[in-house]
Amino acid sequence: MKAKNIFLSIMLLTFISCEKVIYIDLNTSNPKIIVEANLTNQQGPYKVKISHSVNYYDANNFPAETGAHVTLNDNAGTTETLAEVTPGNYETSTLQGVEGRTYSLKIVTADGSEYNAASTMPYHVLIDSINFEPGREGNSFRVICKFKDPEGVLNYYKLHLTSNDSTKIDSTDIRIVADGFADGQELTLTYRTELVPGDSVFVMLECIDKTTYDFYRTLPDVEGGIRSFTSAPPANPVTNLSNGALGYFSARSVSVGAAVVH
Amino acid sequence: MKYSLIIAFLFFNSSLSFSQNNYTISGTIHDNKTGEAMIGATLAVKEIPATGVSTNAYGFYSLTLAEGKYTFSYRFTGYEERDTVIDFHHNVKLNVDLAEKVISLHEVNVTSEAANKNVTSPQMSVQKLSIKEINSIPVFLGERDILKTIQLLPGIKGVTEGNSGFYVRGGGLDQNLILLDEANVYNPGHLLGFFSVFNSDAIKDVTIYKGGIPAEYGGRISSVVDVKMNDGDNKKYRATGGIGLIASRLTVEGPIVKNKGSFIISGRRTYADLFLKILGPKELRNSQLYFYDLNAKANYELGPKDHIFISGYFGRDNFTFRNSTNTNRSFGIDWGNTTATLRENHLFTDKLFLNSSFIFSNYSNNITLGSGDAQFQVTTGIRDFSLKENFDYYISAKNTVKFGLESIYHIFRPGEVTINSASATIRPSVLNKTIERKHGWENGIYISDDYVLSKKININFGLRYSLFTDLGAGTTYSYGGDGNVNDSSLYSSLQPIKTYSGIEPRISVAYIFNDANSIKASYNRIYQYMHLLSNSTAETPVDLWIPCSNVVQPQIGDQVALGYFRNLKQNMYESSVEVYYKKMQNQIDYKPGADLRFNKTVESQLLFGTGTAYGAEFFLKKRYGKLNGWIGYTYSRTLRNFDGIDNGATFPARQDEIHDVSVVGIYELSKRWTFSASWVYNTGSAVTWPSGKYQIDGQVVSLYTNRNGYRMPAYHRLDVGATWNIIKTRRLESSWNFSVYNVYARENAFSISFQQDPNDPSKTQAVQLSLFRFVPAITYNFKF
Repeated sequence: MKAKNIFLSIMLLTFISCEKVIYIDLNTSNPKIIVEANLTNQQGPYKVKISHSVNYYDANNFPAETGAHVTLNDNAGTTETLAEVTPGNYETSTLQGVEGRTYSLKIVTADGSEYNAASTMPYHVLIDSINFEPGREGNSFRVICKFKDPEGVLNYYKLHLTSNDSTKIDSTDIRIVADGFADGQELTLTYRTELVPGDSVFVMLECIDKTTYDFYRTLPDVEGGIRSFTSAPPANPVTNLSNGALGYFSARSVSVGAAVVH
Repeated sequence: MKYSLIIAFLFFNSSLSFSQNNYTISGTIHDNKTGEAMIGATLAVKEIPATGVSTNAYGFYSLTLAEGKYTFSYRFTGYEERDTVIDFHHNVKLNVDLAEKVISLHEVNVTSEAANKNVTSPQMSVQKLSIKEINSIPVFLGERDILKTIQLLPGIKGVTEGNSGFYVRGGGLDQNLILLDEANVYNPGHLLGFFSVFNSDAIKDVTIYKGGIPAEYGGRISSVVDVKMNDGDNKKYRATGGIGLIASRLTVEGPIVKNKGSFIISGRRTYADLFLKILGPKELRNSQLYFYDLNAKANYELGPKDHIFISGYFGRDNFTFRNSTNTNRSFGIDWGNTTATLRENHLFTDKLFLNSSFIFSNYSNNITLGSGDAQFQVTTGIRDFSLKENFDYYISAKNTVKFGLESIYHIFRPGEVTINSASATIRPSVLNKTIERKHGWENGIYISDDYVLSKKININFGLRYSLFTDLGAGTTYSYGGDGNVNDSSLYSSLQPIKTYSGIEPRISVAYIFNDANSIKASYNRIYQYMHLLSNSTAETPVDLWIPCSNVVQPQIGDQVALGYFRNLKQNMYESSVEVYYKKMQNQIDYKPGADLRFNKTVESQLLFGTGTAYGAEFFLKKRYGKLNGWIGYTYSRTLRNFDGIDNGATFPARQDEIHDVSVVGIYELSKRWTFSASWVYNTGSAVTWPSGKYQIDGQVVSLYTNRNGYRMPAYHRLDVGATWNIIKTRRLESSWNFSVYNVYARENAFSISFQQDPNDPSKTQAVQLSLFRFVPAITYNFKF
């Protein structure tokens, strides 16, 4: 016998997938306390926002937690009680954030529940340069931001790019970076946003602590749920708040840079 | 201690019978047409009912009896029975060829094979599928697939739509020992699991153990899927093949020296990428998307006592996405298994059979990122070198002992980066970064005894002792409660870091009421010294195997099972009910947002807990006749407990699909037409969905309350198939296979995701994605 390839094929393939909106009976959930608390090396006031979670199919109205007793103190002995300026929004008036200090946040809600968190403000890192490289289109440019990572310490960054033309900002413009593989290197970030000459850009480089970094890293999709059947089960993001509250308390140091596309 | 006493007793007991005038009949059983050795063919002695032996994985049998005149009857399903009368006054060496029945499945009155072996053997929780069945059952896109077909059996669940990954009795994906000619196959999926690595043209035999796992197998706690490759026709040259919608296959086999040695080479390749080139979006036409695999085997009989086999598997998947407009940028991922097995059968005496195997197995996965003139490649994988020595000792008709050892040296490659660049701008410090390889030495010794205690009681008693040593060179880390590294220690090459070991009893007992009725019980304990880390619940090529270490403990599985077995209408029907309870220790889950890729302290990302699974499986199979097939129903639960998840509350594992039904029917209308259908139903898998939402940094985020607290919608599907055999000519035999997957176009949920309501941004809604409704396929198969 002589092996002889007989190749013959018929293609009858209907790879049709279909998507449809269905109703899923989701459980109701007990309202959780949600905290968004920031403290920086810049001038205050520093804000603490406290709200509640709602059921999944409810409208996006998130009730404020009013009448809470909110205090901030640092490891140098400074303490301040925050004032509630609007419902659920609490602000400092005198406290000044200092790099290297550890801050503690204490919230006692009107019903007597107590929530605590602590965060250490990292030392700031300066932006070395903001430059532009040619973009995809003839007359467009992309932003390149460089800064040098300090050697020998673990650093976590959050970068925020804004431009005078807010329609050009896409989701890549807030990024979190860890220096795990580039300790002591000069870090370069290229933004995909296409800008034109005359646009001004503003970059905010925040040095954040590990829990804040982990919070942003583990924050689920805006839309939540699972992206595919095969994804690992989603979970609530990492938090430094005690007693079942969600959100973050972050002491961060900020440096900024600005440039105009030319 | 108690165990070894019993074993000693069994040896002693059987050695007593040596003093009588006993003789041994031994040999091998082959298919008369192809010369393939037959696994599990039986030899019965007509004068002494319930006495017999079946052939081992190499077709060898041996039976020792008192002298006398006997009728030896050789049997195998679908083959003509062969009787030989022998005046038994000396040792007999008899190699037997059996002929395939001309009309195999048609006959109603089939009594061949020890047809009630499923009743009398102490082995329970075992399933064997014939290649014939696998080839008849309709499958997705007409690609015959062993791993998808076994999912139609009770107790075995598929990962997801069209996927070859599977869970056995509530165990994990990494707890299945998948062997191809004794070599470990670490990732049995092609094309992200839509096809299995097993090309059914090259496969002779598949056995699946769900419980009562024999002592010769170790290292995985949930199941064993033992796949044996064809040896190749040792009588004449043949080619078989098939042309399908997405893949084609070709197998060539023939004698090296007639009746002494043969070879087989079988290859397969998909051509989805060719269609992509023609039909795909312009941007993707330079992309590649294919897999291929090659099975090869050769064997040669060196003499009456020695037989060597060499076999190998090589398979590779390749995905490369290259932008046609910007050829500088590309993303590629390629992965695959390579296995090689060299075996030698040696017959010391006509009662003592030894198989020695030297095995190599490699799984690797490369991710390539091209940008500008630089190319970055990240490689992960696992590589094994093993030695196995398995002895079969046929002491007497009532007593067969197996014993042996296994030694595996594992090399784990958690991540290796290489950079190819012509440019000098890339800093050397980022060049060729490697996460230290890990090394493990896994050893096992075992003994197991098949013993006929009385006419009523058959026992299989086994014991395995396994040992795993984590070896240097390497660095170990210990972690504080926050997951940060507390301490590290450096070890030199081959320096032992940590050793784990365990005693693994394996016991199965059958109590036989009569030829058609029995109850069986079994217990097994198994240690597993490695874990699979995966960011997803299905098998993906980037899943990472890690060994036990100072932090990670071995998985330990204990299972007890009890079953009632009954055959009806002269073994035309077999039925069984089995219940099981399984405890799994040192199971792994992940901290939220765990970072598993390229992380030298990946162990700090893990959570450790326990698993419990239990269930009942009902099975009724019609084996012969124009209409054959089976009905299976499984009720099962599988639960997990982790301190770090939901504060230690019990939650269902993803594969906790409580009710599972499968119905398979094959109808042979005529010599030319065979029809088949299968229907499956299962409860939706457990899934985590949001129960609330909140706002942070101006964005709306989902709130989760319980792990796997929800259920996907129930899954059900009907597939049908038909095979049209074109009348055989002397040279060519060919057939057309038609199939339709999901005939009634059930929209089964592949995923359910949540999104903002496009009509009302203040609201959220659920969106279901379904794949594969009504997928017809056609395949042409030939043989000449």
